[in-house]
Amino acid sequence: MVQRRATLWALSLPPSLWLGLFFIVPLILMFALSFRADMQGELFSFWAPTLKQYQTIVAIGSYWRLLGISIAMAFGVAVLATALAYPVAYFLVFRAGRAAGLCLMLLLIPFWTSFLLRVMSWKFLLGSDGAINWLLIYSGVIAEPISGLLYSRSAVVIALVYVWIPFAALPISAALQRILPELVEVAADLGATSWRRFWTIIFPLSLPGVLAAFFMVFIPSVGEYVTPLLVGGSRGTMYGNVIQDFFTKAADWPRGAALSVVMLVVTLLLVVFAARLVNLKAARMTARHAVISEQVRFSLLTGYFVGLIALLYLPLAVLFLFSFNAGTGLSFPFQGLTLQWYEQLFQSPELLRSARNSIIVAAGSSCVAAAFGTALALLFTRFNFRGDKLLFALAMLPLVVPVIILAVALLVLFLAAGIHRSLWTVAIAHSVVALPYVILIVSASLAGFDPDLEEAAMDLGAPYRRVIVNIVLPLIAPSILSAWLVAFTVSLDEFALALFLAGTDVTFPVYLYGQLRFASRLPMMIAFAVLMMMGTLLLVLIAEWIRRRGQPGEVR
Amino acid sequence: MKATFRLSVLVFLLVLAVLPGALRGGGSAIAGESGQLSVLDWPGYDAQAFWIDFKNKHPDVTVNFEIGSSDADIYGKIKAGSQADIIHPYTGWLQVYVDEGLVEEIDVTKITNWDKIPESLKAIGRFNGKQYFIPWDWGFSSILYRTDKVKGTIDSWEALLDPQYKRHISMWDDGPAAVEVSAYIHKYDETNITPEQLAAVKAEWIKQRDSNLVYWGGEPELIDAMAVGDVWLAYAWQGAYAALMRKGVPVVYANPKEGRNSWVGVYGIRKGTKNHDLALRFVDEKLSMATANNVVNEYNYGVANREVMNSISDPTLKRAFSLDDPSVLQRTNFTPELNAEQRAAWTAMWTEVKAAP
Repeated sequence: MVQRRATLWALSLPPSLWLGLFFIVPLILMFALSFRADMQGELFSFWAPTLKQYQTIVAIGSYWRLLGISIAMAFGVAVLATALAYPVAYFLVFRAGRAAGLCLMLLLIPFWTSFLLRVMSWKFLLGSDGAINWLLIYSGVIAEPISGLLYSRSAVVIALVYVWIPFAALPISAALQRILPELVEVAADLGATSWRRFWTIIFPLSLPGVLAAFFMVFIPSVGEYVTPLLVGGSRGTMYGNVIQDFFTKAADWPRGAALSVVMLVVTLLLVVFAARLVNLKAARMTARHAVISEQVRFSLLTGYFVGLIALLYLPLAVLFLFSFNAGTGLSFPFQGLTLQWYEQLFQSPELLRSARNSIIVAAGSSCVAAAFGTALALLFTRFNFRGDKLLFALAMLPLVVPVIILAVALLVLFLAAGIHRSLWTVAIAHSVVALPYVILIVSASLAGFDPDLEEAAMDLGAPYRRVIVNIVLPLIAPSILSAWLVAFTVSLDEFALALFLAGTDVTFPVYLYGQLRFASRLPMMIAFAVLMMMGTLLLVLIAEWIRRRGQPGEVR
Repeated sequence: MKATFRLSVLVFLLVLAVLPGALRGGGSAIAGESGQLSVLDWPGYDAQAFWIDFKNKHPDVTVNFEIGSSDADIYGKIKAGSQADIIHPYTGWLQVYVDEGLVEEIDVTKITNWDKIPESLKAIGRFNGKQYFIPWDWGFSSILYRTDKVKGTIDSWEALLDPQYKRHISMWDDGPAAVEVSAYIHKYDETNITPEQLAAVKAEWIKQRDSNLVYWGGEPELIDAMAVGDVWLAYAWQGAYAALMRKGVPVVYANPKEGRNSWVGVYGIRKGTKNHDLALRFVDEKLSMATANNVVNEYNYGVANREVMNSISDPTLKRAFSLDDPSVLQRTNFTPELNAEQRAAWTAMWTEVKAAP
């Protein structure tokens, strides 16, 4: 027991300190700011606390209505994304076989291309004079272009679901991987139909993953602001946009902070309420690492997966096409073929440098997040200690806090402490933001993990830390890897934190944003995105090829 | 258990105390030494083309850029304690810097390009008889429309509110801009909008939302939406006009009878900078030929150097800046300066428009 306590401290202290320093302290700072009357005067001097901001917010009914709408939208997005992700996870675990790793990479790679560019290419596809209308008119299906495919609240929900499906699939597949194949076989032997086997065995056992996926999507969607800006149109505004406006348009931090506190409290209450209904720990079950080997065959499920992949890669194909267009911007007519954008690209050291910076930040922050996140996931699923619920809530909080709040708060903190802003500060912030994703994915895997194995090892005299290192970690390695990938992906396309916390060395999204203020720079950025994507795809395929060659004797 | 808790608090505080120093490491004192300049500027302006004259004359000075993505962002960073020597705000925000004493007065006798700046632009940076800012870039805001979709000529800002273009209008996502458009239409004094007028403006734009397809945030977004035929008519800057003309999209940039809007970007020097002289040199060289020409040609923004503007020969740019018709510039309305309260009220109004049922 003494050893177990030492392990507890070793697992909890570093991530707690990290969260405390780079998340809780700035959060308290912002909380204090929400009691300020305005931005006038010294930011760091004492100010008489006032409830002015809260009084103003309470009086504006349309804000509350919007918060309600945003919560409803997030709920819809989370339900749809989780439901649509379930077959993907099922495919990855039970059908993809040896190609599972490759399939997972194929799902995530599109997210390494800027969201901004991918949305621009959807706008080209769906616009009034866009590709799909052109095709439909040309083929005689319709006479007049269909407009209004974009710019609505439904467009926001659809876009968010589209974005979240691959991520939501990860915790679900982590849970599915842990299901004991014998259970299913026994049920089959007893004559249960596959439909019944699914609903009575597989689905209930995968519930921890389903819940993790739901919250992973729901919580950040409440405060979403980028998607509504891009595809929401005049009526697609969400509550997160109001918060954003007070920071980026008005420089009214106290108001923005107060609006965030309101959202934070409401969302947390909802999550706590939901957490009472379901308990991750209670969902622990007897199962062990196994892969149900079913024949890989083309089925409805495979078709679904292929369809999703096609939808994910369609905008990238558009970008590929336009990277050779002599004109600027994503619109017809095509103004001739050219390679000039690619040439321009290699003469732009700033661009290449920003890309390099992004990769460094993503690699560094994702490693920290994966390490701390795994430690915390172990804590939450394997230990009972005082304050575990509180620590869990704190570790999940980065999902709820709008990034702009964290960005401003960390900026103020770093400047006050005299810390020079650099890629380090960006990476620190990214590691905090990615932490909850890692915890959710790894916990989902640990929750379905057979504790008998660990107990057996300890009965044989192994100290708990050895059990973790020799038994637990190797078995959950695949989900740690996918959590790491998600953390990497989150960092790679993150804008707000990078903008506020980078010093003179910027990351790619910040550089891209700067370039996209002016239409003439768009083609070069598209060319770069295409190059980056092709490069990654190539690397992944080569890795897969090497892996397959390395296991010649294995039976499928 | 209590002891361990206390111990962990102690360790936490210790780390809190040690970490700043550790993180500060080698990168200290970026600003503050001679031969170093730090500029807080918008993204894109860090490209060497936009400070090439300074670079050529002071090759040994290291210029570091800190990026601000909006005026609010730049102001916020200065408030938070950024040590940048030079800032680049736009009209509407200048008053706040002066009111709060965040910028230094500029000795114009040390600006060699001073005489090339038109008086109307000089006045933008002058407060209480003192010059706090040097104007640099400027442009128009007006109504840009596709002539193949919109029939007839548009000659009033009211077109942005016209329901006959339902779901084909695009307004800029900016509260003060909306207030200004309403002020032009209803002949309000935009420097002194009353609460009643602000309430009327809010109601007007809530109604406008049914006609508006999307509030645009960045120029390329607007350009694509117009090129692809979703948006027919928009609040726009001259850069979008030039870009669409080059693409061959049939567009016209209106001359509303109420006058266009003009905005001006200025450079200011942060109060307390240790690099005052070098900062002055930098701001001065911003107006020199090569640098000023680059901003005209690459970003299609106007510059405050009269000689550069007079030498423009590209017909697209001439049309974009309405250089053939000086009366356009004479009838223009400069973006008014706002104090902190006005800005907060106008932005709050705009969020309520967007949040309205």
